[in-house]
Parts: sequence; structure tokens; C-alpha cells
Amino acid sequence: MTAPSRDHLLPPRSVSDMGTTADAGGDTGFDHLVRPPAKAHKSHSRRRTLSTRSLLPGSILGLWCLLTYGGVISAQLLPSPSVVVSTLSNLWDHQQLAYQLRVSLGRSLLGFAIGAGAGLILGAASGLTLIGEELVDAPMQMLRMVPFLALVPLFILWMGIDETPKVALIALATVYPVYLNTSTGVRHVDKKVVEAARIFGLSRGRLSKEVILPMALPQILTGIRFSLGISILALVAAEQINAKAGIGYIMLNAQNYDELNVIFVCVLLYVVFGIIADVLVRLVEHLTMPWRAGVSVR
Amino acid sequence: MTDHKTALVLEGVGKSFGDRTILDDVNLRVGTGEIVALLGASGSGKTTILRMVSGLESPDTGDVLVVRTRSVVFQEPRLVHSKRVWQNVLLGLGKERPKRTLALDALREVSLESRANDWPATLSGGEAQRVALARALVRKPDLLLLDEPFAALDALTRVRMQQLLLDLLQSHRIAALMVTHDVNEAVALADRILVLKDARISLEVVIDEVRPRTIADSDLAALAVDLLAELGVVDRSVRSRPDLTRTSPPAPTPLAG
Repeated sequence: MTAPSRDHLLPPRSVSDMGTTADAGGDTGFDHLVRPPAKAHKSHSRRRTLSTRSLLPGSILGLWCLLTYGGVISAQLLPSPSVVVSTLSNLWDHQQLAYQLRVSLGRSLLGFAIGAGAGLILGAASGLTLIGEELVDAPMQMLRMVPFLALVPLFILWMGIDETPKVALIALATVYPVYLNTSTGVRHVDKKVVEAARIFGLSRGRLSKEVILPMALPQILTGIRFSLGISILALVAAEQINAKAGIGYIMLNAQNYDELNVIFVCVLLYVVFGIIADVLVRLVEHLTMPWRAGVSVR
Repeated sequence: MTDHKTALVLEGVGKSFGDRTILDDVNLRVGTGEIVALLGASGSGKTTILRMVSGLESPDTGDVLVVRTRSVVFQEPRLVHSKRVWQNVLLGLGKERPKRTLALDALREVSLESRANDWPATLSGGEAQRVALARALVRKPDLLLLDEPFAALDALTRVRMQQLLLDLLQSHRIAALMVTHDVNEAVALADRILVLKDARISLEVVIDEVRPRTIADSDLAALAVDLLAELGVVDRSVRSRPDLTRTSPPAPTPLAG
């Protein structure tokens, strides 16, 4: 047996060798080439993140101070921050603000729990089963378009003027975002993974609980985020129904007596609710979807 | 009932989608511990056979009989991203809380014990496919169905995975029906190769060459060329060893019991 010929093989050339054959000018010949732009590693320090996040709210606060203390806008139209703070402490001391907050948040959370829970169950039923979709989807799509504010008089007529219509109104308003996001989320779960799980003999119950719902969780949480916001929104409307306590009640009184400062305090409280709700949902996302940690398009 | 020597029987199986006949009178038998490769051009019905054996499709005519415990490895890993690696391995085990040690044992067999607590999204393609293999094997199947299991892997990983698969199949005496369009893969792994063409099994080749096999073996290289010719990829005139191939389709297998 003869040794195979190696004549057609050449020793490897260095990069600069290759350059000189292409460009006799003696230059390296790679002048027309550029390094691909490296994607910057986007990870900010905690402090930097916090300061970036507070940049816009901070400048609004600054502008507010400038306009009020500088005397650009009359105190009749826009109270200064210090006036709002003193009104807040006044409300806390003389109008049992802590109690009012508790009443309001209790209503809002109870309504949200009922509404979001129903939305989750109906959405899962509609997303997971054909009969569920046929039964539930069309009515939900129809009712979704009814503005819940328009139902306030009806609810008073049907349920009286105590807690029931308030909670019912909030529950009704929070059903739809969770319903829509759950049913679409469940429907868009990767069919191939579901098929694999089915072949491995998972029962319907385990399939839904262990595979489909966790995979739909990101979208379900988007629905919950929406619903939390709407529960506060619906609270304002609900507390106009003969309320004897709550933020909406304070706000309604302030409207009637033209107490601009009090209205501002209430607006600020709603802002704080918004931040708290967001932090809560982020925390839940972090705790319930650990597999997404570090996997992100950014 | 199948007898103890048979893991899978297809008898006179036919299947059409609309007016397209995908399978027509397909007869096939896989023995216990036997590795059978099913070759065929794209759209020849290979995957349909596998889906029928998995219970995802039912045949229009004929009969499919298969052992009770079987597992599937797909082309993609198809892991559940919300479960950790070891939980994914236990996915196919019954209701009564399966032990974590079972998963670790299975992961050790595919050399991935150290990644047991990781999320599937952090695995490389080859690692994820090894987890899928562990998930299939932890059920102690009598038959493993493989649908182009290594097609999405790079060439080096593929060779390693083929060796790993072969070791595991042989040490656990698991029968395998492997759908592939990689002729070399079929030649390297299978005890028997079936070629699916024009809705029927057009060619059956038994390979009793010892393993590990290398395509540098001239007999196997010639066989690969023959198979490519049968698949219509290379010219018939290149065919070199007509003695090795049996061109008549296999006779229907009588069912025991």
C-alpha cells in the first residue's frame, strides 16, 4: 500500500500572507473590513437603575416646586408640595386616613381577588377546552364591551347601597383583562411540548397544572397587572355609591366642598398605590417564574 | 397481544391525508432489543408511522400493535421550560411523587448529573437533547421511538450522541425504531434498515457487522451508496453490491396469540 500523496496540501498561510496576495501595495489589505459592533452588556448597577427610574418623576416634582413656590401658578389652582403634605398629616390626624385607606384597599383587593380568580378560571376553561371556549368566550367578549361605570345605577338598584355593589363593580371590572390574557396565553403555549407531555402519559389535570399554565404564566401576569390597576380605577367609581369611608369618599367630599388640597392628596395616594401594585407584581413574577431569570432579549 | 420477542408490529397499515396516500399496506416488525432504522425521503410517511405508533394518529386500514412501555425522543428536546432539568426527566413518570434520585440516576447515564438543578433554557442543544434522552429512558421503555433525534445537532455532537444512544440501547436491551434521513446514521446504528418509498417499504437490509462501525468499512460504504440510490439521490449505475440487498418488500408478519 502506497502512502497517500500530500502534494495538493499546502502549509497554512498566516493572515498577513493572505493580505499581501490580495493587495500588492504592501498594506494588510483589510482596510475595508470593520469589526462587528459588539453589543454592549446591558446591566446597570442597582443605584444607576434607581436613579434612572426616578429621573422623570423627580423632574416633575421639581417643576411642581418651581411653579408653586415661584408664584407662577396661584395656590388656588395648584397647591404647593408643602401644603399637600400638611393637608395629608391633617387628614391622617383628624379624618382617620389610615382607616379610610384600609377600607378602600380592602374593597379593592376583595373585588380584585374575586374578579381575577373568576377571570383565571374562565380563561383557563376557554383556553384549555373546546367546550369551554364555545360556552364562555362569546358572552365574555360581549360583556367586555359594556362600560362598568354605566352599570353603577343598576348595581345600586339590584344590590342596595352597602358593600356588595362596590365589591361587585370592582370584580366585574377586573375579570376581563385576566380572562383575555389567560385564554390567549394558554392557547399559545408551545404545542410541541404539550404533545411530548401527552405522549409521556400525563393526565389532563397534570398537563394543565404542570405544563400549560406555567408556560402561560407570563401572559397571565400581564392580565393581573392590568386588573390590579383597574381595581383601583373601579374603586373610585364604586366609592361614589353612598360611601361612608374610603379614599373615594374623601375625594367626593373634597369635590363638593372645593377642597383642592385634599383632591391632590388623594391623587398622590393613588400614585403610591400604582407603585406598590407594580412592585408587588414584579415580586410575584420573580418568585413564580424563576426559570426566566437571566433569559431576556435585552 | 404481542409475544415476548416482538416490540412492535405494523400489519397492512394504510393512511391517507385527503386524496394523498401516504402509506399503503405497510408491514413491519421490530423485535425485542432490535434497532431498526426507517429511511425515506421527506414526505414519505416516516414520521406518520412514528406518530401512529405514539398514538398521535390512527391508521385508516390495518393494525398497529406495540408494547405498553415506550418512549419518544423528538428532533427538538421539547423540554418544559418551567421545570428544572431533573423535574423534566421525571415528567413521564406516574402520579405518585417519583424520587429525585431516579432522575439523577438517569442523568448520570447521559453524563448530565451536574446540571440537574439548572433550567432547560440554560442548556446547549446537545445537552438538552441528552436530557430528552434521559427523560425517555427513565421510564424503562421496551421500545424507544426516535424521530430524527440528532438532526438539529452539530456533526461532532451527533457522533457522540449516536454512540451514547447505542450504548444505552444495548445495555438496557431496548428496541428502537429510528426515523432518519441520514443514511450514515442508519448504517452506523441499525440492526436492520427499512426504506420507505412510494407509500410502501421498498427495501429491507439486515446489517450484522460488529459495532462500532465506521463508514470507512468498504462494505458499509457500498451499502450507504445503495441506500442513497434507493432513495433516488445517487444514480442507479453507482450501485455496487446487489447481493447485499433484498429488493422485495418483507412479508406480512403473522401475529402471535
